[in-house]
Amino acid sequence: MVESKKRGCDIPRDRHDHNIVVFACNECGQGAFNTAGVARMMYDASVTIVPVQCSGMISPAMIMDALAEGADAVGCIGCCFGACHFVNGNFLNMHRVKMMKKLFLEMGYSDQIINHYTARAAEGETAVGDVEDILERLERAEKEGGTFKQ
Amino acid sequence: MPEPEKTEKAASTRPETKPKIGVFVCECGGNISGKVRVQDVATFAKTLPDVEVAEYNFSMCSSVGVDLIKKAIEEKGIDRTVVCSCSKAQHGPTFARAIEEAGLNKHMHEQVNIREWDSWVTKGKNEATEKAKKSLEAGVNRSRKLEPVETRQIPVTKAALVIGGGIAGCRAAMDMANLGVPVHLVEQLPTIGGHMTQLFKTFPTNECPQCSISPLTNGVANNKNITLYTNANIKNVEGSIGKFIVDIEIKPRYVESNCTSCGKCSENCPVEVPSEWDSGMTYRKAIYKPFPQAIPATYIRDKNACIECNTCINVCPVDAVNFKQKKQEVRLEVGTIVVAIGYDEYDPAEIEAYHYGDPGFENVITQLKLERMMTPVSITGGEILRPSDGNVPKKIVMIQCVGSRNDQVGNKYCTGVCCMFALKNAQIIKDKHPEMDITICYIDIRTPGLQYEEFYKRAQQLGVRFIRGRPSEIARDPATGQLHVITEDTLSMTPVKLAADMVVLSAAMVPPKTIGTLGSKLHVLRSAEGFIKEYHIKMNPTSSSKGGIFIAGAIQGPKDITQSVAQAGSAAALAAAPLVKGYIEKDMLVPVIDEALCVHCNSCVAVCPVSAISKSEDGKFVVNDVACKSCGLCMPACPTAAIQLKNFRDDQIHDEIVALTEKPREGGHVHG
Repeated sequence: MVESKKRGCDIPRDRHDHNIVVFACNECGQGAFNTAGVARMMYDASVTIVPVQCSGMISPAMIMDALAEGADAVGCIGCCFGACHFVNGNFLNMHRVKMMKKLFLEMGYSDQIINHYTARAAEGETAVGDVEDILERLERAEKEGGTFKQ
Repeated sequence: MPEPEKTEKAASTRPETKPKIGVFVCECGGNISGKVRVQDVATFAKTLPDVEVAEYNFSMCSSVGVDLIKKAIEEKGIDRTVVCSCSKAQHGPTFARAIEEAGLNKHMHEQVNIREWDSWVTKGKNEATEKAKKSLEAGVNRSRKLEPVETRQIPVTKAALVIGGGIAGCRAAMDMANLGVPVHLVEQLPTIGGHMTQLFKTFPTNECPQCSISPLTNGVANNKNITLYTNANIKNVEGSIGKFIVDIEIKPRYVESNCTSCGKCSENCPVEVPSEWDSGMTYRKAIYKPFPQAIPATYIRDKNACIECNTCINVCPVDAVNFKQKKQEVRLEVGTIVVAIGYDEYDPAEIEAYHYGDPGFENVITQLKLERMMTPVSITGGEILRPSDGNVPKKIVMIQCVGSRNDQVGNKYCTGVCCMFALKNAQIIKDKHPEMDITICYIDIRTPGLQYEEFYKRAQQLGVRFIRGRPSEIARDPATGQLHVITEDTLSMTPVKLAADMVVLSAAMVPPKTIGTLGSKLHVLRSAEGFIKEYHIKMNPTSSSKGGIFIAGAIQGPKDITQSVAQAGSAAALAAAPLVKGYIEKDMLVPVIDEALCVHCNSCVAVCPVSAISKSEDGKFVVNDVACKSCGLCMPACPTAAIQLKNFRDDQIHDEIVALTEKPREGGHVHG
């Protein structure tokens, strides 16, 4: 945690120093990133993708893991509501993220470092929009001085 | 039938020997090497622990690249591969097949996407190369803990069940029977054919639906591969794809099957009740046949209406009437199930402003009743007459979107077919009585598809009036009994009060009442509207959430006959495929439960969307390998991390995260 803290607020940095972990589901999440790639939609290199089977399998432990290991923000990307390939995994994840947000607020951190998103495999811009939103929220949270790393 | 093998031993087979990883980086003919310095990445890979081979190639998916992998497996003895190239969907199977040919399990391959997720979306070369290295390290970390996953052939019971004998159910049953699959067709009503038999004409060609469907219903009744159960209900469904045990209950008809359909019993029966099949537009006897072409042709006695005068027993020439008949229970074993239970017509009585069914508003009817009135065998002889006094109506108003596109009744969806059947009925009336004044009050006219827009144009040419606006009320003059439809022409922004001799409501299609109990027996998920939810709205609209259960026709959502027939064909093909093949092939990528950690809290059972986890008799939780869809939803639900999906274990994902985040912390396992 000590190292992360040093990285977090002492050193001024630009966007590329961020470290964003995105959990993308096997169907629409990864599919949307693939489509974004085919369409050559540029996004920040700080975004790395962890493939999972369904957004509903992203456990709080995994999210905490990522943050503890030094991620600045975590995004969970699943299929659109009603289109989850495993029926209701995206709803489970949404509720889980909502609960975790409350937890982070109670702990005194920003609730913007973790977010649930949906994407459509056919539209790459949905995934790119999601990661841009993560970065935007993270930067705003950092300006307000309430990120996880403080 | 041989039983599928039991679940392999629950304890996981984690690698005990040191893994030997082969890393192969692809240039993708410049697609990757244009941004990523592939050589640097391969050199970096060599520095990672357990990596035995690290090579790069112009194109890994070419035969040269694939041979490179095979050679490394044979010569260097690597037992798992990491290929950094394109997406898992694109060439993952290519490399998995390659290592399978070289003697490894296909799940020992790990695909790292550095094309779509890196070189194509990153601006700078340095960033792209760094990201590729990170991704590669994550892939190597992940592959270190990969375990072989067995692909199992699961034998299936060669029989299918079709629930619902409407047009979709009959079509699906027929298509499967033609493939040589024994089919059990269960229909809740005494006859098959469904709503289609009730229609007078079908759009857009104004054909007679009875003539279109009777070859199919006759074929279903006479096909040696199809067993027909009418007047029957599903009592219980157990099992999963390949082997479902279904209990059905056949209600008594009180007429034996030696009935010759002579009709003497019905002629002499003294009781008359409104006919359900005729939407209450005619009367039937207490012992009856719903309609002349009914299949099966055996008569049926309505026990509730019968006064037990025994006339039918006395007049029957073949002694077929038997009041002592009991209900039967039949147990079926089937491999797949097609659900085609169709729809119900929305009951417009819920919308109070339209006064459907209220006294004094007898002239407010639904489209289905109008269809029944227009058929030549109806009580009016095919004439259009007002139900209140039997006079010929001069002005008919049709109201669209009754019960659909309506937030107040909770149905936001568009039924999609009401525009077409209102146009059809308006045209039929206009053809017969050009002097009749027909107005259609609509929100939007939706006629997409071949010949459909032309159909709309033809209605306009025939002089059908169209007013854009949803009527707010049907008012009745208390003195004269004259009905008025109060609406607004939203195109000219003028309030309109239309005098109407007869009002026809285009009622929506809603899920049938029986779906509630049936859905819970089948363990399929339903959409918010109540229809059965398809597996994927675009790519797999015919499968349900549960493997082996397929949906056809209007139970998936409102559909016309064309679409229902098309979907029934698709459902039949999907449901028959494993039965014709004789087995289903499935990767056993399933969760394993650590008995030592399990606290028997039932969380995984509650969260499993396909009900694949259950408690066995000895108190242990077991995963049904065949039903499992490898989604991993059970993992976060477990409070002790006792249940872990193979190759997606918590510690494996932790290792991956460690590589992806910049600076790994010492230790750092949350659990696993």
